[in-house]
Amino acid sequence: MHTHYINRELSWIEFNQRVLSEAQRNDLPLLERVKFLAIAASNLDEFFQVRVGGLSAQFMAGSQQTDITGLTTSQQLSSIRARICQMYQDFSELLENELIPKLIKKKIYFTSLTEISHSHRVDLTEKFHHTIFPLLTPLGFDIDADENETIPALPAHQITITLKLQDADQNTRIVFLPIPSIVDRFHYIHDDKSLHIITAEELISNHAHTLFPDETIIDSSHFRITRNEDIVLHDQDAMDIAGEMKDILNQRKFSKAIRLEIPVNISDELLQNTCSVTHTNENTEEDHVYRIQGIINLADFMSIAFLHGYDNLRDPEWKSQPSPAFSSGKSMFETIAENDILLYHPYESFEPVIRLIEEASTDPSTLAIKQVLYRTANDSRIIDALIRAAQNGKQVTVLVELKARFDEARNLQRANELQSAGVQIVYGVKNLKTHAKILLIVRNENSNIKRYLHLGTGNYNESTAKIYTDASYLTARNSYGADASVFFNAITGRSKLTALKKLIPAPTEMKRSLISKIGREAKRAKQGEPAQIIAKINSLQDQDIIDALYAASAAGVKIQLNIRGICCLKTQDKKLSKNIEVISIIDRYLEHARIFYFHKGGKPELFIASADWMTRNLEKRVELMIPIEDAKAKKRLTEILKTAFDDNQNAHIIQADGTSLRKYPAKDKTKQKKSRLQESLQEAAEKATKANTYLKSTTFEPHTPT
Amino acid sequence: MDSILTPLKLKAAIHIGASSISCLISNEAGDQIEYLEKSTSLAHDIFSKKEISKATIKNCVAILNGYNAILQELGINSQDPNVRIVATNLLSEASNKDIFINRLQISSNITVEVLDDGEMTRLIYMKTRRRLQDTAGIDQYNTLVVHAGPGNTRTLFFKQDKIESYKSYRIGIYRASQAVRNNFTDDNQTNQFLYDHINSQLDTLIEDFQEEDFQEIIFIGHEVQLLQPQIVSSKTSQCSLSKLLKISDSIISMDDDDIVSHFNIDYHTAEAIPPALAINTCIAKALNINKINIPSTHYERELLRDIHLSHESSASFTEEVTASAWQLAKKCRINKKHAKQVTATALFLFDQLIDLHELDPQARLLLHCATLLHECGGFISDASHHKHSQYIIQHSDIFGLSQSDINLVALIARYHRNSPPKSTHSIYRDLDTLQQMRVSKIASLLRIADALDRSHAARAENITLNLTPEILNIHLTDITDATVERSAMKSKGDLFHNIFGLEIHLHEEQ
Repeated sequence: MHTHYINRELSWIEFNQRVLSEAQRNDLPLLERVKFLAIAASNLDEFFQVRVGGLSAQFMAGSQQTDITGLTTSQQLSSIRARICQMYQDFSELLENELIPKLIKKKIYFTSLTEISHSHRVDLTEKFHHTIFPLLTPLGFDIDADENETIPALPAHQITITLKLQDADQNTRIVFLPIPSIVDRFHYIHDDKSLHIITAEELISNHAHTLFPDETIIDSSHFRITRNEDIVLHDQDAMDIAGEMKDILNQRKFSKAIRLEIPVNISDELLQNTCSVTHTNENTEEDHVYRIQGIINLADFMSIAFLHGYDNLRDPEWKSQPSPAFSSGKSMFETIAENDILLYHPYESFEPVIRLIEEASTDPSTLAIKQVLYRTANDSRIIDALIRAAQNGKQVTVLVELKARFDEARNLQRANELQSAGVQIVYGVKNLKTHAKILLIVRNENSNIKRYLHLGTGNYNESTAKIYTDASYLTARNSYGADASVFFNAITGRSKLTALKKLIPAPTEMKRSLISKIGREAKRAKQGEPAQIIAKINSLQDQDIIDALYAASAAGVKIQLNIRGICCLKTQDKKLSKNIEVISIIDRYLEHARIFYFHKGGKPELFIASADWMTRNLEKRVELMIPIEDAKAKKRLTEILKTAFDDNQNAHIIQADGTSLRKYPAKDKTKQKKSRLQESLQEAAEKATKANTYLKSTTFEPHTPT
Repeated sequence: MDSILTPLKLKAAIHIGASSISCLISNEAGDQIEYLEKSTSLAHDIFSKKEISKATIKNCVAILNGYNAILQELGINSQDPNVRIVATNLLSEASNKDIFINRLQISSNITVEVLDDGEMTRLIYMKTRRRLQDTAGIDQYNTLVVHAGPGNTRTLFFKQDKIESYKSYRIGIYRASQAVRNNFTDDNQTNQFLYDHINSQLDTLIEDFQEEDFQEIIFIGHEVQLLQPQIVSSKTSQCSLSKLLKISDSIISMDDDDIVSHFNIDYHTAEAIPPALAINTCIAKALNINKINIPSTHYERELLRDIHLSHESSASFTEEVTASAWQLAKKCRINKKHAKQVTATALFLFDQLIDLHELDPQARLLLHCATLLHECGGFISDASHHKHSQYIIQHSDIFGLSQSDINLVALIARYHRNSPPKSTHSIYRDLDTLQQMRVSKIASLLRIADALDRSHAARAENITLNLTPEILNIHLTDITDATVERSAMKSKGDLFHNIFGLEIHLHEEQ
């Protein structure tokens, strides 16, 4: 079927293939490759939980809807299955044929219990009896039981062991033994210079007989299910959103299994029982039953990637640099009042953003702090500072987005903590997810109101800020501050969203504004003026935006898109996209910043944003697109955007069919140099720090009495 | 960071309007700190059910509580005199007005004032003045200002910068949309019905203005100013009648959903757009005015700014008010010379004795109007003419005065002779103690001034005052024998004596 677009699910799978391709790189240190394998596996889990989960539910409901490429739900599910089977094969081959042999060379072995020494075996048995045995709960199952009997609800994500038991009278029965989530997946035995890794399923299966003293285990296997987590809160009529969110979290535990992973060598009888207890059917494509060669649940390999004592198998760490814009002796407010400041994380540390909130929490001039929290870190310093501020009598208002996927439970807890400290809490906006990253601090300066702002592309999460690339913009511009105030009054329900001067919010304005800016470039191109759009986003899926880009391409606008994940735009099509170049960068840090450049006849407009170019972001979420007016910041963002297109190490060119092709330095006469975006940004940050340190070592700042 | 915090000097105005509640917080310099606005369906309720629904009351309380929280965030105490909360006079058409106001006051802890017609006129006047001052050369023209409000439409007619007349008509946005709803036929006929309904109400307005010669019309109002960019040229803020008709037709034929998405506004406002536009258009067409102005400013925000300023009335505004009172006085054929003489004396007394009476400038304005009008009752009959004065004033319009202020003027005029205020006098009795005291103080000055012109010959043109702890000495220059005045003072100085405890002594001085 000819279509102008690429299916979003298949495009996502190609993104994950790019992640996997990092694990396939021979030139990367071994544990870095293991890490990418684990990331790709974990991504895939999430994809099943949410995307396949959602599609399955639609399919079950008999949905006749088609996507923008004209595929029905059922067609999508089977295309996904076909593509994922290939990916599973890639996973297995990579692990079994490459990574495990290479690990063995480094004396890291995946071992069965029989292969280790007697004394180690005794130690492990001891460990089993003390720390694992008390946690195990076997669940009996009778495949022939009548329908009214309760079928045990097995936990998702974790491995469940299946056992066939036989008693003295030759009677058999099937028992399921879920491995509790708090049990480590891997057990390590350090022996001489080698390391033996024993999986939890191996350890428990081998000791399971102690649970059933009067029976014999005559067959055993294991499996893992994934459930539909795409059960979301329909908050239009919610009276008690916190309570209803708890119900949703509970419902997800019992939702339909939408993927079953089993070892290839499972016996027919155990397979039958497993399918029966999980309500799946291996022969139904939409049920997504996969037979896995080798170890199941590769996401757990993350712990191996971060094993202590194997730094030689990893890349040296890149350290976040302190931004030269701030000095320790000067208040954050003073610095921001002087100039707008752009930070690009994690090359530049996220510390100043935390420091700003911490400073405000004890600053006598601070009247109010307002912030949107979407995903926060464990033991978040930001939350601590907000609590302190409230205790110090500041008016603290926090919107905690309860609907943030996978963080719902944590956010509920956070909201409770903040509330008991006296913080005004808002649980998000009805029908919309609040995804904007914004912090507003209101101060009384000489009897006047002065507002300080942090606007960003990433979450207020100091942990992810170390591995996601994101932009932060700190400003005290009055017009921005006034907009921020209006924005907060709107999302906290105190006012309607009146017209903003600078900030461009979704769902009200952003899409319209983007389409009009794309259209303007097209108009210029038609009149023979140079016209260009460069954008760095995580996903491009919105059909209206894609159509606007096609039209701009046809008009002659040079369009460069750096899209990490989903791209439903069809590249390399002579009619549609001849002037559009799409690359995707997969490297050490997760590309996360959204930056847009519109040439505007040589007076470029630069924006950073919390939103991707997806319909859900532009129409179903509260987002912000922030114009960058500071000349220095504009220049820097333009450079970041442009350098990405020089990358010939970690960049992939998106092909017409949605697959990708890695970029390499040209081997022709030009003898192109190696270029890598993330490395060059890290070098630049380190250089800036060095220059600043040198400056400080030559100019002394005396401590003076205040 | 260890500097001592100086408190913020902020003021806040909240307006409970027909379709929204808005709040403006600004600093001393008048810069906006916060502007808040939320929709309500007050007008919708009042015109469809004659009362405010429980849900709407709840919603209004929630909105005010939210605003209160923001005031607190900025350290503003809602009891502070810098916080003013006013409600549209549309409320008076709701059967449960008092319940509503009480509920708001109890929950928000702020005293809610209901804006009456006079105060509304004053706010519109102030808005217009600014508009006229901003437009070069407009003081050469005659201009009609039209404000289509939720329940009534107001007109102010300016002749070369001076107000010539002002009127209020029972044509309103919600009144019109309710009439359409009551007579609903089908979609296609609705628009025509809207026009027909409004045109049928315009007779008085046309009669009032068809003889007048004016060059410009200015439309003001929440809805029409919202549509300003769509209607007028961005350069001149003007458009022609034919353009207005064309645009109106296209907007009025849109349904609510179209209006909401096209103008990016909420449904409450969208509901009001067609009737608002229809009223303005019908008036422009009926009067055949080809130069139509719509200010580019934000109606609600400006109104809130003026609410802050409304008690600091400008000099020109005071002039317009007294001019209006004088028009009425002339209509009643008063003795102009006497009225002017008494007024001059009364205001002189007011200004000289300010430390004694401690009244505000608004009281001076009331005294001014009451003095001009004190004998207007003579138009009906000389006997008991003070009572006729009260009646006439009470039932007349004085530009820029609210009904409660007009009532005060009426009482002050009444007490220029005979009985001083008594708790048996019904309207006086209904005032609160503070207002009763105001009336007594102002009336006492009028009585003295009137006594001093007992001869109606403007003899006491030059007087000087001298205050001792027990006596107010009035020195009458150029008068050889003040027997007439002294005798008048005997009956009229009583009120002053009772209130201030001072005797009045007259001294002839040559």
